[in-house]
Amino acid sequence: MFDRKPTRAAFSALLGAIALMSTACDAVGTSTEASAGGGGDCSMFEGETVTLVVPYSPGGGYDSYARIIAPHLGKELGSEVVVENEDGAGGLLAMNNLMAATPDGTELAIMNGVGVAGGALAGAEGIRFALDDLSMIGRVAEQQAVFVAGAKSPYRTLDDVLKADGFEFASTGVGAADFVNANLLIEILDFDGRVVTGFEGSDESELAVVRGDVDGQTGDLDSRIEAIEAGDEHPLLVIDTKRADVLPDVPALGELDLGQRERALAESLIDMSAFGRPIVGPPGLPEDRLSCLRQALHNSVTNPKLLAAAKKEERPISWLSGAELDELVGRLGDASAAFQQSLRAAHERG
Amino acid sequence: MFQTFFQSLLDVLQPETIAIMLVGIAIGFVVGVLPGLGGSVTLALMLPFIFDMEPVQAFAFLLGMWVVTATTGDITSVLFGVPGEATSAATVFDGYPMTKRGEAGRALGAALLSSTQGALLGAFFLALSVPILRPLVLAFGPPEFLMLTLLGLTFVVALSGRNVLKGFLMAALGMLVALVGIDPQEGVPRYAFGQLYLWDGIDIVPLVIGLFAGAEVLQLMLSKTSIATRTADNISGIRQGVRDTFRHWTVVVRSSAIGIGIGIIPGMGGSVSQFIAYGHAQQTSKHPERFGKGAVEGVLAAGANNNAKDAGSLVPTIAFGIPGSVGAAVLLGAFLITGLNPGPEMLTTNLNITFSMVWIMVLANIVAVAVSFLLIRQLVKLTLIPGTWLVPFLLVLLGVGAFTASNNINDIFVMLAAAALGVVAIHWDWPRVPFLLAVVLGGLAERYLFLSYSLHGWSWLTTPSVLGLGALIVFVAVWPYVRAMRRRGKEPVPARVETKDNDLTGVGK
Repeated sequence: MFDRKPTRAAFSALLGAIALMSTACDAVGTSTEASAGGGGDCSMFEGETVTLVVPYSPGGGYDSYARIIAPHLGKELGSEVVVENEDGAGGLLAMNNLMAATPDGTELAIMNGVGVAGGALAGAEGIRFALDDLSMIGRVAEQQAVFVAGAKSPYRTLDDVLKADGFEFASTGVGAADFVNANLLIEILDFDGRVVTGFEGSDESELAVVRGDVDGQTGDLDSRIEAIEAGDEHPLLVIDTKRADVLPDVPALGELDLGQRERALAESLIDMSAFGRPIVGPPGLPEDRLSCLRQALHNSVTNPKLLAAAKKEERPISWLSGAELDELVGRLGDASAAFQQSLRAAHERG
Repeated sequence: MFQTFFQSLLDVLQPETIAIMLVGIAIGFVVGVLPGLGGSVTLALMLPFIFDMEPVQAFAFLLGMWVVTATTGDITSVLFGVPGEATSAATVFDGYPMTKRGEAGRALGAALLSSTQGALLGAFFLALSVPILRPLVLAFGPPEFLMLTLLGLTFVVALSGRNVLKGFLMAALGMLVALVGIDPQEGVPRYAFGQLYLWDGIDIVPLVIGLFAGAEVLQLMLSKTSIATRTADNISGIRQGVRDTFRHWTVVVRSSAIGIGIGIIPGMGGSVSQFIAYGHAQQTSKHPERFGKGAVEGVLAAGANNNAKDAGSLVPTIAFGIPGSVGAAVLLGAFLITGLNPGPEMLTTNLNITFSMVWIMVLANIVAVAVSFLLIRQLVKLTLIPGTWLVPFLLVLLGVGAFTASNNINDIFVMLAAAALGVVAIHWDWPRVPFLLAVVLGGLAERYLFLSYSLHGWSWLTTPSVLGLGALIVFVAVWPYVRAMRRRGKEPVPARVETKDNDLTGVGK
């Protein structure tokens, strides 16, 4: 069973109370005491308050990651890192606001990499910036997408779907990651499928899949794994070059036998998925501040204490450096016209 | 199973667990009273503190905190007309008029006790539904949700007060406001005027705060008096409020049932059910005309509903890991941290933890309400403070309450615009609640209509559950007229009185 540490538990609850009382007027925020020093090159952040924006309401993956990282990043920078939820326009409101922020690194955001990258490449309405405008600090988690079918649907394997007569995907809306993934899968694998939009959030679309109102959906593996293990959903395909460790029997998109055009589309889709959940800053972040933030974030996510906390919340850390993200942006910028065309189509109406 | 049920009570009653729960309750109490400091944000802030706790302790802390915010949120709604929590908005409709009349003690007594009753009924339901938790969640889909929103909208008739035409016009205006934002089907922004802020539509929290609290604070500023000019004897007032919950027990039970039912549906959101419960209470009341002017049944409906709803939203969270509300979404994080898997396990190997949640909801509410009752007399005195002292403080509450809905400055502007609309509506006697109900339900009705159609074509129209709900809608819409006719048959009302009324409202003959 679990470790029994009642006194510590009670103590930490008490600390919680004190922490809340002291930050009650701030309304939001996770605070850490400014600790002495975070490496010589980060002196410009000492004593500053850094806001880490979550573009969604509390609860869910982005919020969890931000709150796990904030105290450690604060220690590294020698400043206070406050988490702020700024929900709106499917996360785009916060991203556009970030674009207008003073580029001094005191305002950062955790971004929906796939959604924003897809939208930016497609030139979707509401994204008022190009992907390479963003200052990439580092990816904290990958978002391995998985294609699942509900237990009540007749589909058990990918082959069943390829022979389908009208496979229905649930999606939260035009331009959302589940919408883009579903439309591209239909195009790459060339099967008879359609996407039903209008579900309020992933909770509602998941319920529709479990109920059997629709046949399946695409989603993050770490969010889907519970339903898969409970037997409510069957995994069909992992949208990655290689199979997922937790699902060794489920094929990966990269290993399928595809035509040349389809293969190129699949590679771009996998590239785009690699964005995962990055932490980004506004355009034009000065070199010294950017390199400090990159180093500080790297130190934070390799800190054993942070890793333990992340493990406990089942939010695995998967690091990709800012430089590697920049490379990815470049590669996607060069992606084939066919891919951008497919993305654009997915942002209009399937 | 019964053994597990009572064993789980013993788990909760461990001294350490109780201590942790009391800390949670204390935090929840403060958070609930303060507008703007929402229950779900606080839950997210507190998640790291449960890392070393056992599951039951973690839920004692978090769940205890969360359910208490719904109870104490009503206190601010009643006393100042500013909802302490988004889910306490409907308590304002009648709770605040009662305070102005000097009946704050009675209103608080009714709100708090009905909250506890709602929580008890919700917990009782959660415990009872354990064997059928999973089929229960799966029983309803978009067509049934659509019928539920339509049922809610039929209450517009009742909520319109004496002038049904004005009510319909306000509801139509509300529907128009509900159209603002990205449409759920094509992803096209409607009436957004290039503003990303408008993509998600108009948020309900700043709207409620402006429409009710903002308008009232403006009036308080102009009148230069205190909120209440006198207060009735507090102790007897509280007793009366307590008696009210038993006198109108059917309102409490039905409102709780509505809360549980809507709480179960993910996507309906916690702020919807209170309006439906309120509308139903007015519709079924013998004196619907008193609603909005300080009818205690209105307070009871809102109070009982928002606590019962929390139990409802836990049902899909426990059964499938699909949270029924934002608060439940954060609680889902607590499942993962403590190593629990939502789903069948919660009903078999971890059944004791599921049952402990039931006990935690019950105990936390009882403690919070007991403490609140001790404080009522002091709290009521606040309403006698002269307006000139109180208004600056209330303005801060208004601003903070509206702003923290999504940390966006535009929420303040929406709040101010809603306040202006509220003042106009009060001055010319246009009902505000139908407007609000239409804003909340209009968007949902549209979404579920399109979802029903894209999933099932038109075949959903003839399913038994949809037909049953349709019959209920017809009944609810027609019932007041039938009752009025029957009453007229028994004791004829002189026709003259009605003409007089018409003249008073300026509609004329």
